[in-house]
Amino acid sequence: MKARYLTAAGIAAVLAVAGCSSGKSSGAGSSSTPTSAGSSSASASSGVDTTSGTLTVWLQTDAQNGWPKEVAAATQAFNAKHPNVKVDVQYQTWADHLTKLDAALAATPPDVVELGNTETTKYMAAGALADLTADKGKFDNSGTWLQALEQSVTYNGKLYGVPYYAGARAVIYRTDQWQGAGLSAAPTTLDEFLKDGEALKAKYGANDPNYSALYWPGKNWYGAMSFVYGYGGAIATQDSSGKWTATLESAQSQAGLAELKKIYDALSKAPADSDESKQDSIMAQGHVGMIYGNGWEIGSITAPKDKGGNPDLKLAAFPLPGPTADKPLPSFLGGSDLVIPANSAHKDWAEEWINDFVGNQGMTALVNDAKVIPNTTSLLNLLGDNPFAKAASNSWFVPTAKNWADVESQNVLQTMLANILGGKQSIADATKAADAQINQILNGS
Amino acid sequence: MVAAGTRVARAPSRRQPVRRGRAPLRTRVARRFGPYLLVAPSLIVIGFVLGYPVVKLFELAFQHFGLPQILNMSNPKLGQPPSWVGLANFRRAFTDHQFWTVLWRTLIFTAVNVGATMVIGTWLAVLMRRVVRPLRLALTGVLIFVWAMPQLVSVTIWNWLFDQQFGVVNYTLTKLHLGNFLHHNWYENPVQGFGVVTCVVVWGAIPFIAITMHAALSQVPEELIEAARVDGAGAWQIFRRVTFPILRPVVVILTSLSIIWDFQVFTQVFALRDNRPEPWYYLMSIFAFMQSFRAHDYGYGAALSIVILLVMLGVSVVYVRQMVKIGDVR
Amino acid sequence: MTTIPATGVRTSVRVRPRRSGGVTSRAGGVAAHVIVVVVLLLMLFPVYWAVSTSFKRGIDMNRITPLWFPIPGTFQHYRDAWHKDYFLSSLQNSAIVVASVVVISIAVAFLAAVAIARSNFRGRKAYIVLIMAIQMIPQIALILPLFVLLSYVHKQNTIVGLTFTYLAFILPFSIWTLRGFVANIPADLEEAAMIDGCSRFGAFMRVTFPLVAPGLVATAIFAFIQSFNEFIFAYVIMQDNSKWTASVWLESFLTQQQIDWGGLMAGATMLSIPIVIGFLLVQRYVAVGLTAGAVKG
Repeated sequence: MKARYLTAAGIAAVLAVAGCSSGKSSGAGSSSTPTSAGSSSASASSGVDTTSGTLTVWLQTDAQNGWPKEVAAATQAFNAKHPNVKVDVQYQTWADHLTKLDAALAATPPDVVELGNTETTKYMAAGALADLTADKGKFDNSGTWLQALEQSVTYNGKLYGVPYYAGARAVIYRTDQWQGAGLSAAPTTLDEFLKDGEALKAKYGANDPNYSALYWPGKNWYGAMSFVYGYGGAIATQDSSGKWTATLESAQSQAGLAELKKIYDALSKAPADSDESKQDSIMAQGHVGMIYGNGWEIGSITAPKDKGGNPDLKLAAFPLPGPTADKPLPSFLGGSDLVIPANSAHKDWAEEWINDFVGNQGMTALVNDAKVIPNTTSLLNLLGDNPFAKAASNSWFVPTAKNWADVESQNVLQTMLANILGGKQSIADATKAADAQINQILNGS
Repeated sequence: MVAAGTRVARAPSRRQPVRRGRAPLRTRVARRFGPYLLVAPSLIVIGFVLGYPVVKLFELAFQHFGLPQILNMSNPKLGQPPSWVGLANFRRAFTDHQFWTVLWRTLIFTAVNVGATMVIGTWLAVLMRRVVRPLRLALTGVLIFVWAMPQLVSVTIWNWLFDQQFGVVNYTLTKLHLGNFLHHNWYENPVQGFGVVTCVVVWGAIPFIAITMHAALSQVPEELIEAARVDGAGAWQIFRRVTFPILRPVVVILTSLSIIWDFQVFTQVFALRDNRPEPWYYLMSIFAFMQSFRAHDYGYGAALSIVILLVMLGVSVVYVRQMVKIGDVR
Repeated sequence: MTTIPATGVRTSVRVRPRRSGGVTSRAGGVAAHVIVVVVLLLMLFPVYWAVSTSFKRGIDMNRITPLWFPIPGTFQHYRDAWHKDYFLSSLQNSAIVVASVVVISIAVAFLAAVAIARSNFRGRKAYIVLIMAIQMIPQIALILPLFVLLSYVHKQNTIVGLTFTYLAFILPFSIWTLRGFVANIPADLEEAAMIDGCSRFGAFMRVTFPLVAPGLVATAIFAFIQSFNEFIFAYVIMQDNSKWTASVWLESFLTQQQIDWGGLMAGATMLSIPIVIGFLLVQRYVAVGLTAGAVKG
């Protein structure tokens, strides 16, 4: 008796899930224009799903500290359609989350996972993520997703994730010092930028040996590669046979790095082998005129003193200019994606929750509240005349090779930059060594 | 606890009849199976928890095993099953120039750190017995505080102390006119960088060594020392002739443990280098971790882990033999 | 456990150190005192720096001219840490795990230590080599298969699973250390006590136990601190945030965007203080005289 009852309930559950997801897909399909904020609630009215279960979501602690409200709102929207599904949001820390993910993939995977957009390729290549190509239409704004983010969840022409949010970098500067040094307009070329920096240095660095007109930590490879791409170079290119060739030693790439070294030597006191993680608290100290950073860093630099900021600083930003006035240097588009492990048991629920979180409605709230760069160009206007949004319009992305993560994790570029900027190796030697390593990694099995 | 005390008090009255009747058989059984019963619980726990993982580790070392194979573990329909590659992973290690560099670096690092830890720790333990009680308590408190500090936090603090721009160490050295250390970058030269790492490791390891040695020293009968002193022995002689022989087993154990730990130093280097150690800061454990969890080459990572195990067994073979010998009952 | 000898032996504990202390301080103790004070300060400084940072305003943490004392200070970081998500739950989880690990590991390890120190059973050498070799395997290499195993028996994400994991890693160490202490006690002592009319158990409790007490406490402290501070296994095995242990909770102060140094230091200080107080309470039972008193009495 009991057993039969349970079986029946199980079948009902399966049917309910299937029924719901098909209803959902048609609902979203009918409103494929990326504006209708109500598309998800519309599908909800088609019927409440009474299946029970647990949907496990792994987000990074950024959401826990920055936008827990939007996470809760997504779960609430999801639960309106699936009242008996428990959405279990667990926050992960960046340092070890891939270790934990690997372990979970081997046994009991979560259903939705946030990955940094440079972390996805390896997992896509391994077939570890669910193929969402056929379901792309279910997601709001999927026609206008930011190019660089969509690229980071696309592998061999298939879609394996949903863009979450992005971050672009721009030059953050102190307006008071800027005026104090007699500067007015934002520079439009790198030559002007260097001249402005030297004016700052002459004015504020004369009596302060710790002063950096531009604080540029040597290992800031996202920044450095902007120079490479801005001068027409690239990290690596793929030929038609699929073979990757590293091109850091090309004349264009070297020219970009030479320009960076010139600026670094002239303006920065930051260690050649440090990374950018501390640069905002250092800027808050007052010995820095400019940094090259993310939009949210303005918030942490001007946070209350208890929190390590300095609310007295007046900050503004401009896109890092390029060699010529017509185009700024491309910015690296950092960001996160939401993916579904291939062995997740709840792909349909996962898709729905993702759309409730970063669909049009959720994203609008997220942008308004946390000022992140949205996953879609259609919402960029919410940020107004934001220099970071402008910087996002011209962007570069890492090579989408399946072994790219190894280049990052083995610190090939950081090591190269630390050597160049620290004066340990010439640009030619350092790029040559890095190219050899990158070629080996990218073309390895 | 109270029960234990009362049982001790009652014991004599119980003992007599027992000994007269059944003692011989019981003793024989106890002699025969007692030791096995005593070690059984530990074997069960260790076997249950580590049995499968260790077997799996050895299996991985002979396989090509990456993300697709991980996926395959959870669901045979996904990913790819692992393929056997024989000794390829080991061959790769032994023909890799970097492997040998890292191995030598790790061996030297271990020797320096174990030496420093043992000497300073023991010395401190000896000193602790010669100072007034309040000072001893204060030192013990500090040692415990050091020990209790989560590694994440202690490494962060050391990182600050040696920071290039804001580091207290640079500031103090410059103020003391020991040279111009303004903006001195301690990590630029790996020798100096490992100097900092050694500071952190030794600083963190001293509490355990000092406290354990202190406890061990308390086993040295005061009478023996006083007798030696009456005979005119100096402090060093007393230590060498009286104290040290008694401490020997504990010293051997602590040294071998230190070797094991220092050979596997990981967090300190990893965190000091902002979770992205440069290749010239790799130690064996970091090398293996990078291959496993960063490059997702679990087969190669497992092979490296087994090499670590073998090297350490080799290094401490002397100690293993000592270990087995010391306890051999007279 | 550690309180057993208290009633009987504590009086002699009090007396003996004072006497021997008097002897040694006459014998050139000034140098010893000076050195100990210097070492104490050196060891203390990083700790001091962590604690004082926890009272500093964020802006004062990275300064060219160091701020030696946290003035002006703030309690904000303590408030933040206290109110941070999962603080109390993680503390509670840690308490359960640590208590279980300490109690079980001491009991199990002591039995094994007695066996390998006192009898020459067949397989003893193999056992010792096993105990030793286990510690030589890089732990992190085992994390993946271990997680698969725990999932297989449905013990991932549970305190039981984490406790057993810690036990497996801590036991070899504890057995090994305790063995040194047990081996150090002349077996004749026990026999002598038995001839004096003690039962085997009585002889053990009266003679052996007080002698290994310092070793038990040292191993207990080790087990305590290891299981309290371990991070990566706790992070991987405990999937839910509500099951975080304290060390994992600390890590949540670090995010991509911002690292809350003050909160981290305040959190760490709050977590360390109970350990230190706890130890100082136990400390008196490790007291030097225990052994001497027992040998004499």
